[in-house]
Amino acid sequence: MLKRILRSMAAIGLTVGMISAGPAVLADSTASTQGPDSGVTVSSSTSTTVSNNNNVSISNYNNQTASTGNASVSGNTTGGNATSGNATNNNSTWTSVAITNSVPMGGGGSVTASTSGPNSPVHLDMSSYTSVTNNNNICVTNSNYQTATTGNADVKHNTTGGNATSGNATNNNNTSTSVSINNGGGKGGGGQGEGQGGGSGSSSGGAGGQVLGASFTVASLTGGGTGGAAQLPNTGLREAASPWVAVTIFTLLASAAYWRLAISPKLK
Amino acid sequence: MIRQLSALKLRLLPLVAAAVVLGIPFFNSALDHHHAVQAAANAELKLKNPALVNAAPVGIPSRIVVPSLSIDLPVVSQSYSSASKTWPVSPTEANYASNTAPVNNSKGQTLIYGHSTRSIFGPLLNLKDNDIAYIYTSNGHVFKYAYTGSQDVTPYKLSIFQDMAGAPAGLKMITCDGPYFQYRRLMSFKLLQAS
Repeated sequence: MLKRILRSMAAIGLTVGMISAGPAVLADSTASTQGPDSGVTVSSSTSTTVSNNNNVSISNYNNQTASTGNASVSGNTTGGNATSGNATNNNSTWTSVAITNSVPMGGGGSVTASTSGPNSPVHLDMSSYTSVTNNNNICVTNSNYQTATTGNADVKHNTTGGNATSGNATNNNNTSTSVSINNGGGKGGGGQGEGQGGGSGSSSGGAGGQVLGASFTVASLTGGGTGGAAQLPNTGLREAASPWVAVTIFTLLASAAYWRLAISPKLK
Repeated sequence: MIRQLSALKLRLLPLVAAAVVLGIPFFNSALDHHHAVQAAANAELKLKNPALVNAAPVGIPSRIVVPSLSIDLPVVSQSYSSASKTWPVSPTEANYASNTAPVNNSKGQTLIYGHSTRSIFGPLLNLKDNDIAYIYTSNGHVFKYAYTGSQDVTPYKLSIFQDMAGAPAGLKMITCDGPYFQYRRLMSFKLLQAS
Protein backbone atom coordinates (compact mmCIF):
# COMPACT_ATOMS: atom_id res chain seq x y z
CA MET A 1 0.00 0.00 0.00
CA LEU A 2 2.76 2.38 1.00
CA LYS A 3 4.53 1.49 -2.21
CA ARG A 4 1.46 2.42 -4.28
CA ILE A 5 1.12 5.75 -2.49
CA LEU A 6 4.74 6.50 -3.18
CA ARG A 7 4.24 5.62 -6.84
CA SER A 8 1.23 7.92 -7.08
CA MET A 9 3.16 10.80 -5.51
CA ALA A 10 6.00 10.16 -7.90
CA ALA A 11 3.57 10.26 -10.83
CA ILE A 12 2.17 13.62 -9.63
CA GLY A 13 5.69 14.93 -9.35
CA LEU A 14 6.37 13.77 -12.89
CA THR A 15 3.28 15.62 -14.20
CA VAL A 16 4.25 18.84 -12.45
CA GLY A 17 7.72 18.46 -13.80
CA MET A 18 6.49 18.09 -17.37
CA ILE A 19 4.11 21.06 -17.13
CA SER A 20 6.83 23.30 -15.78
CA ALA A 21 9.42 22.11 -18.26
CA GLY A 22 7.23 22.30 -21.40
CA PRO A 23 6.74 26.05 -21.84
CA ALA A 24 10.30 26.84 -20.84
CA VAL A 25 11.47 26.04 -24.30
CA LEU A 26 14.86 27.45 -25.20
CA ALA A 27 15.15 29.05 -21.83
CA ASP A 28 16.93 27.85 -18.77
CA SER A 29 15.04 24.90 -17.40
CA THR A 30 15.69 22.18 -14.91
CA ALA A 31 13.82 18.91 -14.45
CA SER A 32 14.51 16.31 -11.88
CA THR A 33 12.81 13.25 -10.61
CA GLN A 34 13.56 10.46 -8.34
CA GLY A 35 12.32 6.94 -7.96
CA PRO A 36 11.60 3.95 -10.13
CA ASP A 37 9.75 4.20 -13.45
CA SER A 38 9.82 7.99 -13.34
CA GLY A 39 10.49 9.45 -16.79
CA VAL A 40 10.95 13.12 -17.79
CA THR A 41 10.37 14.04 -21.41
CA VAL A 42 10.82 17.54 -22.87
CA SER A 43 10.60 18.14 -26.59
CA SER A 44 10.56 21.47 -28.39
CA SER A 45 11.30 22.93 -31.79
CA THR A 46 11.60 26.56 -32.95
CA SER A 47 12.04 27.79 -36.49
CA THR A 48 12.75 31.40 -37.54
CA THR A 49 13.27 32.76 -41.06
CA VAL A 50 14.43 36.33 -41.70
CA SER A 51 15.18 38.12 -44.95
CA ASN A 52 17.04 41.43 -45.19
CA ASN A 53 16.81 43.27 -48.49
CA ASN A 54 19.01 46.36 -48.69
CA ASN A 55 18.71 48.23 -51.97
CA VAL A 56 20.82 51.37 -52.16
CA SER A 57 21.02 53.63 -55.18
CA ILE A 58 23.25 56.70 -55.08
CA SER A 59 23.70 59.21 -57.87
CA ASN A 60 25.88 62.29 -57.59
CA TYR A 61 25.84 64.69 -60.50
CA ASN A 62 28.12 67.69 -60.78
CA ASN A 63 27.97 70.05 -63.72
CA GLN A 64 30.24 73.08 -63.67
CA THR A 65 31.25 75.63 -66.23
CA ALA A 66 33.76 78.46 -65.73
CA SER A 67 34.82 80.95 -68.36
CA THR A 68 36.89 84.07 -68.24
CA GLY A 69 36.76 86.93 -70.67
CA ASN A 70 39.16 87.88 -73.38
CA ALA A 71 42.16 90.15 -72.86
CA SER A 72 42.62 92.53 -75.73
CA VAL A 73 44.95 95.48 -76.31
CA SER A 74 44.32 97.18 -79.60
CA GLY A 75 44.18 100.53 -81.31
CA ASN A 76 46.46 102.40 -78.92
CA THR A 77 49.42 104.58 -79.64
CA THR A 78 51.05 102.99 -76.65
CA GLY A 79 49.26 99.88 -75.59
CA GLY A 80 48.86 99.06 -71.93
CA ASN A 81 48.60 95.67 -70.32
CA ALA A 82 45.41 93.63 -70.23
CA THR A 83 44.94 90.59 -68.09
CA SER A 84 42.13 88.09 -68.08
CA GLY A 85 41.35 86.22 -64.89
CA ASN A 86 41.57 82.56 -64.11
CA ALA A 87 38.77 80.08 -64.70
CA THR A 88 38.50 77.54 -61.92
CA ASN A 89 36.02 74.82 -61.03
CA ASN A 90 36.16 73.13 -57.66
CA ASN A 91 33.96 70.28 -56.60
CA SER A 92 34.03 68.08 -53.58
CA THR A 93 31.48 65.36 -53.11
CA TRP A 94 31.36 63.04 -50.15
CA THR A 95 28.75 60.36 -49.89
CA SER A 96 28.41 57.97 -47.02
CA VAL A 97 25.90 55.20 -46.62
CA ALA A 98 25.80 53.00 -43.57
CA ILE A 99 23.29 50.25 -43.05
CA THR A 100 23.25 48.12 -39.95
CA ASN A 101 20.96 45.15 -39.64
CA SER A 102 21.18 44.41 -35.97
CA VAL A 103 18.24 43.47 -33.86
CA PRO A 104 19.24 40.75 -31.41
CA MET A 105 17.05 37.73 -31.28
CA GLY A 106 16.82 35.49 -28.26
CA GLY A 107 18.90 32.38 -28.45
CA GLY A 108 18.62 28.97 -26.95
CA GLY A 109 18.78 28.47 -23.26
CA SER A 110 20.17 25.64 -21.20
CA VAL A 111 18.45 22.61 -19.89
CA THR A 112 19.55 20.44 -17.10
CA ALA A 113 17.83 17.24 -16.17
CA SER A 114 18.80 14.69 -13.64
CA THR A 115 17.24 11.62 -12.16
CA SER A 116 18.31 8.73 -10.13
CA GLY A 117 17.01 5.34 -9.38
CA PRO A 118 16.19 2.32 -11.45
CA ASN A 119 13.98 2.45 -14.54
CA SER A 120 13.77 6.26 -14.54
CA PRO A 121 14.24 7.45 -18.11
CA VAL A 122 14.84 11.14 -18.86
CA HIS A 123 14.49 12.34 -22.44
CA LEU A 124 15.12 15.96 -23.51
CA ASP A 125 14.97 16.91 -27.17
CA MET A 126 15.27 20.59 -28.10
CA SER A 127 16.00 22.04 -31.49
CA SER A 128 16.11 25.58 -32.84
CA TYR A 129 16.51 26.63 -36.47
CA THR A 130 17.15 30.18 -37.66
CA SER A 131 17.59 31.12 -41.29
CA VAL A 132 18.86 34.61 -42.26
CA THR A 133 19.01 35.71 -45.88
CA ASN A 134 20.73 38.99 -46.75
CA ASN A 135 20.33 40.57 -50.17
CA ASN A 136 22.44 43.70 -50.62
CA ASN A 137 22.14 45.58 -53.90
CA ILE A 138 24.35 48.65 -54.17
CA CYS A 139 24.42 51.02 -57.12
CA VAL A 140 26.67 54.09 -57.01
CA THR A 141 26.94 56.58 -59.84
CA ASN A 142 29.24 59.60 -59.63
CA SER A 143 29.15 61.89 -62.62
CA ASN A 144 31.37 64.94 -62.88
CA TYR A 145 31.21 67.31 -65.83
CA GLN A 146 33.54 70.30 -65.67
CA THR A 147 34.49 72.83 -68.25
CA ALA A 148 36.92 75.68 -67.67
CA THR A 149 37.75 78.08 -70.46
CA THR A 150 39.99 81.11 -70.48
CA GLY A 151 39.69 83.95 -72.92
CA ASN A 152 41.94 84.95 -75.75
CA ALA A 153 44.92 87.24 -75.31
CA ASP A 154 45.04 89.63 -78.22
CA VAL A 155 47.49 92.48 -78.94
CA LYS A 156 47.12 94.29 -82.23
CA HIS A 157 46.98 97.61 -84.01
CA ASN A 158 49.14 99.34 -81.44
CA THR A 159 52.04 101.58 -82.21
CA THR A 160 53.72 100.15 -79.16
CA GLY A 161 52.00 97.03 -78.06
CA GLY A 162 51.43 96.20 -74.43
CA ASN A 163 51.00 92.81 -72.83
CA ALA A 164 47.82 90.80 -72.89
CA THR A 165 47.66 87.83 -70.58
CA SER A 166 45.03 85.18 -70.38
CA GLY A 167 44.45 83.38 -67.10
CA ASN A 168 44.66 79.75 -66.20
CA ALA A 169 41.91 77.19 -66.69
CA THR A 170 41.69 74.71 -63.83
CA ASN A 171 39.31 71.91 -62.91
CA ASN A 172 39.46 70.28 -59.49
CA ASN A 173 37.28 67.45 -58.41
CA ASN A 174 37.33 65.25 -55.31
CA THR A 175 34.81 62.48 -55.07
CA SER A 176 34.65 60.05 -52.21
CA THR A 177 32.05 57.38 -51.72
CA SER A 178 31.74 55.10 -48.75
CA VAL A 179 29.24 52.28 -48.48
CA SER A 180 29.17 50.13 -45.40
CA ILE A 181 26.69 47.37 -44.76
CA ASN A 182 26.78 45.29 -41.66
CA ASN A 183 24.53 42.25 -41.75
CA GLY A 184 24.98 40.94 -38.26
CA GLY A 185 22.62 38.02 -38.69
CA GLY A 186 23.80 34.73 -37.24
CA LYS A 187 22.37 31.36 -36.70
CA GLY A 188 20.14 31.15 -33.68
CA GLY A 189 21.18 28.94 -30.82
CA GLY A 190 19.59 25.75 -29.80
CA GLY A 191 20.47 22.62 -27.94
CA GLN A 192 19.71 19.02 -27.37
CA GLY A 193 20.07 17.05 -24.21
CA GLU A 194 19.33 13.47 -23.35
CA GLY A 195 19.53 11.46 -20.20
CA GLN A 196 18.44 7.95 -19.53
CA GLY A 197 18.18 5.42 -16.80
CA GLY A 198 19.31 7.27 -13.81
CA GLY A 199 21.95 9.21 -15.64
CA SER A 200 21.96 12.93 -16.13
CA GLY A 201 21.94 15.12 -19.26
CA SER A 202 22.63 18.77 -19.81
CA SER A 203 22.58 21.10 -22.75
CA SER A 204 23.27 24.75 -23.36
CA GLY A 205 22.18 26.76 -26.38
CA GLY A 206 24.28 29.06 -28.47
CA ALA A 207 24.13 32.79 -28.79
CA GLY A 208 21.15 34.56 -30.36
CA GLY A 209 21.12 35.74 -33.98
CA GLN A 210 20.88 39.34 -35.25
CA VAL A 211 18.31 40.19 -37.84
CA LEU A 212 16.22 42.95 -39.43
CA GLY A 213 17.32 46.35 -40.64
CA ALA A 214 17.61 49.06 -38.07
CA SER A 215 19.35 52.18 -39.30
CA PHE A 216 19.93 53.91 -42.63
CA THR A 217 21.89 57.06 -43.30
CA VAL A 218 22.65 58.97 -46.46
CA ALA A 219 24.73 62.07 -46.31
CA SER A 220 25.67 64.64 -48.89
CA LEU A 221 24.07 65.70 -52.12
CA THR A 222 25.49 68.11 -54.62
CA GLY A 223 23.99 71.55 -54.92
CA GLY A 224 24.46 74.97 -53.49
CA GLY A 225 26.20 78.10 -54.60
CA THR A 226 24.94 80.48 -57.21
CA GLY A 227 26.63 78.67 -60.04
CA GLY A 228 28.37 81.94 -60.88
CA ALA A 229 25.04 83.58 -61.62
CA ALA A 230 24.64 87.32 -61.34
CA GLN A 231 20.86 87.12 -61.27
CA LEU A 232 17.94 84.76 -61.30
CA PRO A 233 16.67 83.34 -64.61
CA ASN A 234 14.88 85.82 -66.81
CA THR A 235 11.77 83.96 -67.87
CA GLY A 236 9.76 86.91 -69.16
CA LEU A 237 8.63 86.52 -72.72
CA ARG A 238 6.05 88.63 -74.57
CA GLU A 239 3.72 86.32 -76.37
CA ALA A 240 2.39 87.23 -79.74
CA ALA A 241 -1.38 87.22 -80.04
CA SER A 242 -2.61 83.72 -80.54
CA PRO A 243 -3.48 82.96 -84.16
CA TRP A 244 -6.67 81.46 -82.85
CA VAL A 245 -7.89 84.94 -81.96
CA ALA A 246 -7.73 85.97 -85.60
CA VAL A 247 -9.23 82.67 -86.72
CA THR A 248 -12.08 83.04 -84.25
CA ILE A 249 -12.88 86.60 -85.28
CA PHE A 250 -12.75 85.71 -88.95
CA THR A 251 -14.94 82.66 -88.44
CA LEU A 252 -17.55 84.58 -86.47
CA LEU A 253 -17.69 87.40 -89.02
CA ALA A 254 -17.92 84.97 -91.92
CA SER A 255 -20.63 83.01 -90.17
CA ALA A 256 -22.66 86.15 -89.48
CA ALA A 257 -22.37 87.29 -93.09
CA TYR A 258 -23.25 83.84 -94.35
CA TRP A 259 -26.28 83.71 -92.08
CA ARG A 260 -27.49 87.05 -93.32
CA LEU A 261 -26.99 86.32 -96.98
CA ALA A 262 -27.68 82.61 -97.29
CA ILE A 263 -29.84 81.48 -94.41
CA SER A 264 -31.91 84.40 -93.29
CA PRO A 265 -33.67 85.01 -96.67
CA LYS A 266 -34.74 81.37 -96.77
CA LEU A 267 -36.40 81.63 -93.40
CA LYS A 268 -38.69 84.43 -94.50
CA MET B 1 -41.09 71.37 -98.80
CA ILE B 2 -38.79 68.48 -98.20
CA ARG B 3 -36.48 69.74 -100.89
CA GLN B 4 -36.42 73.21 -99.32
CA LEU B 5 -35.64 71.74 -95.94
CA SER B 6 -32.93 69.58 -97.43
CA ALA B 7 -31.40 72.56 -99.18
CA LEU B 8 -31.51 74.53 -95.95
CA LYS B 9 -29.73 71.72 -94.16
CA LEU B 10 -26.93 71.80 -96.67
CA ARG B 11 -26.68 75.54 -96.28
CA LEU B 12 -26.23 75.04 -92.54
CA LEU B 13 -23.16 72.86 -93.05
CA PRO B 14 -20.71 75.83 -93.28
CA LEU B 15 -22.02 77.09 -89.96
CA VAL B 16 -21.48 73.65 -88.44
CA ALA B 17 -17.93 73.68 -89.82
CA ALA B 18 -17.41 77.14 -88.31
CA ALA B 19 -18.59 75.85 -84.94
CA VAL B 20 -16.11 72.97 -85.18
CA VAL B 21 -13.28 75.42 -85.92
CA LEU B 22 -14.26 77.57 -82.95
CA GLY B 23 -14.26 74.49 -80.74
CA ILE B 24 -10.73 73.38 -81.59
CA PRO B 25 -9.00 75.42 -78.81
CA PHE B 26 -11.41 74.02 -76.24
CA PHE B 27 -10.81 70.53 -77.53
CA ASN B 28 -7.03 71.02 -77.32
CA SER B 29 -7.33 72.34 -73.81
CA ALA B 30 -9.41 69.36 -72.75
CA LEU B 31 -6.90 67.03 -74.39
CA ASP B 32 -3.97 68.65 -72.56
CA HIS B 33 -5.83 68.34 -69.29
CA HIS B 34 -6.58 64.70 -69.98
CA HIS B 35 -2.92 63.99 -70.69
CA ALA B 36 -1.78 65.74 -67.52
CA VAL B 37 -4.32 63.87 -65.40
CA GLN B 38 -3.27 60.60 -67.01
CA ALA B 39 0.40 61.35 -66.28
CA ALA B 40 -0.50 62.12 -62.68
CA ALA B 41 -2.35 58.82 -62.38
CA ASN B 42 0.69 56.98 -63.72
CA ALA B 43 2.90 58.78 -61.24
CA GLU B 44 0.61 57.80 -58.37
CA LEU B 45 0.74 54.21 -59.54
CA LYS B 46 4.51 54.29 -59.47
CA LEU B 47 4.55 55.86 -56.03
CA LYS B 48 2.38 53.04 -54.72
CA ASN B 49 4.67 50.40 -56.17
CA PRO B 50 8.20 51.66 -55.53
CA ALA B 51 10.91 49.61 -57.16
CA LEU B 52 13.48 50.38 -54.50
CA VAL B 53 12.67 50.14 -50.83
CA ASN B 54 14.92 51.70 -48.20
CA ALA B 55 17.00 53.41 -50.89
CA ALA B 56 17.56 57.14 -51.07
CA PRO B 57 16.07 58.16 -54.41
CA VAL B 58 17.88 60.98 -56.17
CA GLY B 59 18.06 62.03 -59.79
CA ILE B 60 18.09 64.76 -62.39
CA PRO B 61 14.57 65.98 -63.21
CA SER B 62 13.38 65.02 -66.66
CA ARG B 63 9.65 65.73 -66.58
CA ILE B 64 7.24 67.86 -64.59
CA VAL B 65 3.51 67.32 -64.23
CA VAL B 66 1.05 69.68 -62.55
CA PRO B 67 -2.33 68.08 -63.24
CA SER B 68 -4.49 70.86 -61.82
CA LEU B 69 -3.03 73.31 -64.37
CA SER B 70 -2.71 70.85 -67.25
CA ILE B 71 1.08 71.17 -67.23
CA ASP B 72 3.07 68.22 -68.52
CA LEU B 73 6.52 69.26 -69.77
CA PRO B 74 9.95 67.77 -70.30
CA VAL B 75 12.73 69.26 -68.18
CA VAL B 76 16.24 70.05 -69.43
CA SER B 77 19.30 70.83 -67.33
CA GLN B 78 20.71 74.33 -67.64
CA SER B 79 23.54 76.24 -66.07
CA TYR B 80 24.32 79.94 -65.93
CA SER B 81 26.39 81.16 -68.84
CA SER B 82 29.05 83.53 -67.60
CA ALA B 83 29.85 84.40 -71.21
CA SER B 84 26.39 85.75 -72.01
CA LYS B 85 25.60 86.46 -68.36
CA THR B 86 22.23 84.81 -68.68
CA TRP B 87 20.45 81.64 -67.79
CA PRO B 88 19.48 79.66 -70.88
CA VAL B 89 15.69 79.31 -71.00
CA SER B 90 14.16 76.74 -73.30
CA PRO B 91 11.16 78.09 -75.22
CA THR B 92 9.31 74.79 -75.15
CA GLU B 93 10.50 73.01 -71.99
CA ALA B 94 10.99 73.52 -68.30
CA ASN B 95 14.55 74.07 -67.09
CA TYR B 96 16.47 72.61 -64.16
CA ALA B 97 19.12 74.85 -62.59
CA SER B 98 22.00 72.39 -62.35
CA ASN B 99 23.73 74.29 -59.55
CA THR B 100 20.89 73.36 -57.21
CA ALA B 101 20.39 69.97 -55.59
CA PRO B 102 19.07 67.17 -57.75
CA VAL B 103 15.64 65.88 -56.87
CA ASN B 104 16.00 63.94 -53.63
CA ASN B 105 14.30 63.06 -50.38
CA SER B 106 17.01 63.95 -47.89
CA LYS B 107 18.45 67.46 -48.19
CA GLY B 108 18.56 70.39 -50.57
CA GLN B 109 15.92 71.92 -52.79
CA THR B 110 15.68 71.69 -56.55
CA LEU B 111 15.02 74.73 -58.75
CA ILE B 112 13.01 74.44 -61.94
CA TYR B 113 12.26 77.51 -64.01
CA GLY B 114 10.44 78.28 -67.21
CA HIS B 115 9.00 81.01 -69.38
CA SER B 116 5.86 82.70 -68.14
CA THR B 117 4.04 81.84 -71.34
CA ARG B 118 0.72 80.04 -71.54
CA SER B 119 2.32 76.87 -72.80
CA ILE B 120 5.09 76.71 -70.17
CA PHE B 121 4.87 78.16 -66.65
CA GLY B 122 2.37 81.00 -67.12
CA PRO B 123 -0.42 78.92 -65.54
CA LEU B 124 1.69 78.48 -62.38
CA LEU B 125 0.70 82.01 -61.37
CA ASN B 126 -2.73 80.51 -60.60
CA LEU B 127 -1.47 77.80 -58.24
CA LYS B 128 -3.56 77.10 -55.16
CA ASP B 129 -2.42 75.75 -51.82
CA ASN B 130 -1.75 72.01 -51.82
CA ASP B 131 -1.83 71.74 -55.60
CA ILE B 132 0.21 68.68 -56.51
CA ALA B 133 3.30 68.55 -58.72
CA TYR B 134 5.09 65.41 -59.85
CA ILE B 135 8.73 65.28 -60.92
CA TYR B 136 10.10 62.38 -62.90
CA THR B 137 13.86 61.83 -62.87
CA SER B 138 16.07 60.55 -65.65
CA ASN B 139 16.89 57.43 -63.61
CA GLY B 140 13.28 56.40 -63.09
CA HIS B 141 12.25 57.92 -59.78
CA VAL B 142 9.05 59.88 -59.17
CA PHE B 143 8.63 62.59 -56.56
CA LYS B 144 5.37 64.10 -55.37
CA TYR B 145 5.18 67.64 -54.01
CA ALA B 146 2.48 69.94 -52.64
CA TYR B 147 2.40 73.69 -53.25
CA THR B 148 2.86 75.67 -50.04
CA GLY B 149 3.17 79.30 -51.12
CA SER B 150 5.00 81.85 -53.21
CA GLN B 151 6.70 85.21 -53.08
CA ASP B 152 7.80 87.77 -55.64
CA VAL B 153 11.52 88.52 -55.45
CA THR B 154 13.88 90.69 -57.42
CA PRO B 155 16.08 89.10 -60.09
CA TYR B 156 19.10 89.73 -57.88
CA LYS B 157 18.00 87.78 -54.84
CA LEU B 158 20.74 85.19 -55.22
CA SER B 159 20.60 84.24 -51.56
CA ILE B 160 17.86 81.77 -52.44
CA PHE B 161 20.53 79.39 -53.75
CA GLN B 162 22.24 79.28 -50.38
CA ASP B 163 18.92 78.89 -48.59
CA MET B 164 17.86 76.07 -50.87
CA ALA B 165 21.12 74.16 -50.42
CA GLY B 166 20.68 74.05 -46.67
CA ALA B 167 16.95 73.43 -46.60
CA PRO B 168 15.23 70.05 -46.27
CA ALA B 169 14.33 68.26 -49.47
CA GLY B 170 11.84 70.22 -51.54
CA LEU B 171 11.14 71.93 -54.81
CA LYS B 172 11.06 75.53 -55.97
CA MET B 173 9.86 76.88 -59.27
CA ILE B 174 10.49 80.27 -60.84
CA THR B 175 8.76 82.18 -63.55
CA CYS B 176 8.58 85.88 -64.32
CA ASP B 177 5.87 88.11 -62.92
CA GLY B 178 4.86 91.74 -63.16
CA PRO B 179 3.83 93.92 -66.09
CA TYR B 180 7.44 94.34 -67.18
CA PHE B 181 8.62 90.94 -65.91
CA GLN B 182 10.48 92.82 -63.23
CA TYR B 183 9.81 90.19 -60.55
CA ARG B 184 10.51 86.52 -60.19
CA ARG B 185 7.65 84.47 -58.76
CA LEU B 186 9.34 81.98 -56.43
CA MET B 187 6.99 79.09 -55.69
CA SER B 188 7.67 76.60 -52.91
CA PHE B 189 6.66 72.96 -52.78
CA LYS B 190 7.10 70.48 -49.97
CA LEU B 191 7.98 66.86 -50.58
CA LEU B 192 5.15 64.41 -49.96
CA GLN B 193 6.36 61.14 -51.40
CA ALA B 194 9.18 59.59 -53.39
CA SER B 195 9.64 56.32 -55.16
